[in-house]
Amino acid sequence: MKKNLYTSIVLIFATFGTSHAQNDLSFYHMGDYVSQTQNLSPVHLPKNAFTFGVLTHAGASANSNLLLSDVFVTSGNTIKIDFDNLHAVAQNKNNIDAGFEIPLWMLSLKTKKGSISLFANVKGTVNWLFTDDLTAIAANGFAESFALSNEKLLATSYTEIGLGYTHKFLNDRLAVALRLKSLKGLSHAQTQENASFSMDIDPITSYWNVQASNATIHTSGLEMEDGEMKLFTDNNGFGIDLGATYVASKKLTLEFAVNDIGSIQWTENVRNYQLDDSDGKIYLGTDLNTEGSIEEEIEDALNEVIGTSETTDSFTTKLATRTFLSARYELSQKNTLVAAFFNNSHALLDSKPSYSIGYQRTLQKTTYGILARAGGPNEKISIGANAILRLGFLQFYAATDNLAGLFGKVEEVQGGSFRFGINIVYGYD
Amino acid sequence: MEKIFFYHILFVLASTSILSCDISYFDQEIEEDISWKGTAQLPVGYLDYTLSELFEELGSNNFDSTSSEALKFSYSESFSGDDDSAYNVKIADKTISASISTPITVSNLAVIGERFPYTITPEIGSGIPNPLIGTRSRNNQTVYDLNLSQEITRVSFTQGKLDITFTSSFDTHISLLLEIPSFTKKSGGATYTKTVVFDGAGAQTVSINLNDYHADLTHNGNSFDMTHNRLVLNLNADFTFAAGDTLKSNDTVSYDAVLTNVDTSVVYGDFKQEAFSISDQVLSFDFFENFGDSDLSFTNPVMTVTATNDYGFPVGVDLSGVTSRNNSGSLNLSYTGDAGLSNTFIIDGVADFGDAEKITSVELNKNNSNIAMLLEIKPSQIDFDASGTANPINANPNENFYATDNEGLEVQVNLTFDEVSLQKMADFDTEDALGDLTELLLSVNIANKIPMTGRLVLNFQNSAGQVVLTETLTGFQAANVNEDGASDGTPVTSNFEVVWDANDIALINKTKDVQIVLILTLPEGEDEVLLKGSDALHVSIGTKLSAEFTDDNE
Repeated sequence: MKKNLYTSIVLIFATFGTSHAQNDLSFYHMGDYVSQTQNLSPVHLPKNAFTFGVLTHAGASANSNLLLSDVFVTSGNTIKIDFDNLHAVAQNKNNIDAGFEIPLWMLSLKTKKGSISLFANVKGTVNWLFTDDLTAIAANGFAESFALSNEKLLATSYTEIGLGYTHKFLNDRLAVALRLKSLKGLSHAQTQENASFSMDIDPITSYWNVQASNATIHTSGLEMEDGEMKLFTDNNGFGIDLGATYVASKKLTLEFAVNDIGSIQWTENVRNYQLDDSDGKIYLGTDLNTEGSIEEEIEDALNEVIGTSETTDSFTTKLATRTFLSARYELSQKNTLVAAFFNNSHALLDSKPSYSIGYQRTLQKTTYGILARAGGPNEKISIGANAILRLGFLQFYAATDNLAGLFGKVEEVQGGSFRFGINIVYGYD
Repeated sequence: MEKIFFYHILFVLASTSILSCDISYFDQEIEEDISWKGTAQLPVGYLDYTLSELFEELGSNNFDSTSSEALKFSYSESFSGDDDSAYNVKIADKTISASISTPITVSNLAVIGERFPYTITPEIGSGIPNPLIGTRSRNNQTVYDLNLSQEITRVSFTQGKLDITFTSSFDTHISLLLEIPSFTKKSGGATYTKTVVFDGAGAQTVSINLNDYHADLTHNGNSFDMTHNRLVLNLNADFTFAAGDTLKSNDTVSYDAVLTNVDTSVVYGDFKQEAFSISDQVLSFDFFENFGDSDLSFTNPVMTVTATNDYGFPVGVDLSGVTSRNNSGSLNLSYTGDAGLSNTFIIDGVADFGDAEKITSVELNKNNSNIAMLLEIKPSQIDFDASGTANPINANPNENFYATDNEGLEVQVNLTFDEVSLQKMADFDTEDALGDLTELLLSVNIANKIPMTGRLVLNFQNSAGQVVLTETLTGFQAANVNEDGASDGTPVTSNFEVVWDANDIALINKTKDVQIVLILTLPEGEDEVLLKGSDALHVSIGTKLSAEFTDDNE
């Protein structure tokens, strides 16, 4: 069992690592040639009259400032988890971000002034921000005082079923889109905002001075019923995506999109694990001159100082809102320059915007592009690419933000994103 | 067509790149056992003890929170010679009588044809002078046994008289010379002599003031140093018979020497091995009962016995009468003894009258006595019921003296020890809970309001009772004391650390019992403190440990 768990952890990291893309900017650059880009850019002006896709798309992304080899360290002919090495390479702030998006199905109809689409997706993200204070504890234990105030975890997954509508105005120069989404939360775990926990350890007496504020982890849906996760739960929510494009000139089109504005109320299988707020409680140990159980005395004494509680109160969380801004400049009928800006915002995310500039070439059966991406959590430049191939009514596509990572060693890759899929398309212009 | 082919290839490359990525990293063996090595510092806990609670733990319920009792590590007591009358030899009033009969015998008279009574005629015949006319002498020596309680050889009188009444029934001139060789004049050393003259019958008395004399009682009539208790009187009578003196057969000249009201400043002699009475004393050790049923021991217990003696004889004190008593029994002192005399402490005597007093000291320690055992039974008291004898080593004869102004024998006993150790055995089984630790540091912080300094020794013992690890800990410093010797109530903080490495921890894991030894000492500069049941001790224990956990149970 343990081996399986261990292997699974490794494989998850490996999978994210081999995804080799980031922030979906490459996918975003593909624009309306692929209907699934609606999930990034609500304005959908399809090139074909009808698109239908069922479970033919998959996308995942992951990134971290840490490498797999920072955690899984080679020792002789084996690899093992090495917290010492993790702490040695950890920065003040570290992130492990991962996400996946699986469009369950998608139907898109081109209208005279735009499009109408129906869609259902499953989305999930994990954003874990941790400091070298935490890695220090992992590596060295807690022999010295520590303070954890920038540890943030946001992990959520949900399904969305929605209706999208795009309509053009101003002689088709302005296109405005709105997507309304009914959300069903699948699972969730997050630290409370401004959560902090610190412990001052007196070097002489070893007394703990414990301070805690908002040290709560809210969870829901982590306990599966009969070992299966339900796609439709009572964790209801609502979200909208907004977008607009404006054709500034014959060659220049500007776009902005704000996705995932909304919230989910978590009511199923809710567990809120909480440390009592404390502005300085002293843990002296336990009274050793007890006639009772020392273990119970220690438990009681610790509870006195580090009180814990568990509630099942429902809670509401906001979605992490993704914002895209872009400009497309048509060099020629087949060649387009794309510049994009992306940011992901949530109270628990330490977001840094990403930028990209790319070149898209469109031919009769194919569209492909290449881009340079910068910014984001790792603030490194990567080269991405995308391609679409249409064979009859089948459309194949793939995109990545980090081409180099595709062919690199898994242990040396810091992340990326990768999407691919197959659509049934009909009625190309 | 070529372009389409190129794009096909590009797409296939991209979409299948997930499979072509180099994941050979995971071809290596993955170490299944998850291990973690690190350190932690945490407070283990604390202990609050009042002194009354501490003693209750030790098995004593007599020292409650309101109790207060003095504790000292030095006990002193003195005792003295109880009755030295056996050496203060008294010379009782005596009458010594002696007489000298007439030197003219019946046969002397028969020669001249006379019988008693007879009045001397000038001639016994015509022209024949009477042969009885003239001088005749007779002597008498009396060696008188004074019958004293000791074998006294010399005395020096301070008072008393010897009244000698001479009585003569002779009708004759008699010159008596009395010599008492036993008496010598204090000034000049002359032997006492006295001449008494009678010119007829009568009586004369001579009085001797004994304060002016020493007496040597060793004269046996011939010479000195031959005997003791003897008073010698030599009487010489010179008779001058003349015509007209009437001689009777029962004529005598005699004396009665009446010795009265004698006292001495010093008597010399051989006191043999006369018993010497010593007063009883008790040292109270009530406090030690509070140490309950814990084993008690004392560091460097020493009983110093110092005797000051101005007697003119040595005294042997039998120390086996020193008895340590508790509620359940008693134990007598055992001492290797002086000069091969078991249990005997020999106190030197003054060699010569007038010399300074003699001080003799002996130290009884764990090497020459069982003094430690006497204390370890937690006595409530130690009885000093010692007895003594003069001349423990009998020289036969012994040259002793006793002076009436002797201060006597004073014995000072000082019982001291440096530390008190309490030992208690406690079950100790880690059940291998420390097995994952590679280093364990215990930091102990003690706030002490008890006016005693303490150290701890932990002896970890395995199931066979063998000590596998000994840890000596600094312990705690004593609280400061006020003028009453009690704690001033301000806690004195002490800190110490115990560091056990992996080897030590392995030994501790074998431990089944631990002997806890608490060693108590008085505050520096104090020889006595007042302990109160409410005196408190707060012990806080923290730990800093290094551990390596390996999940290898699967």
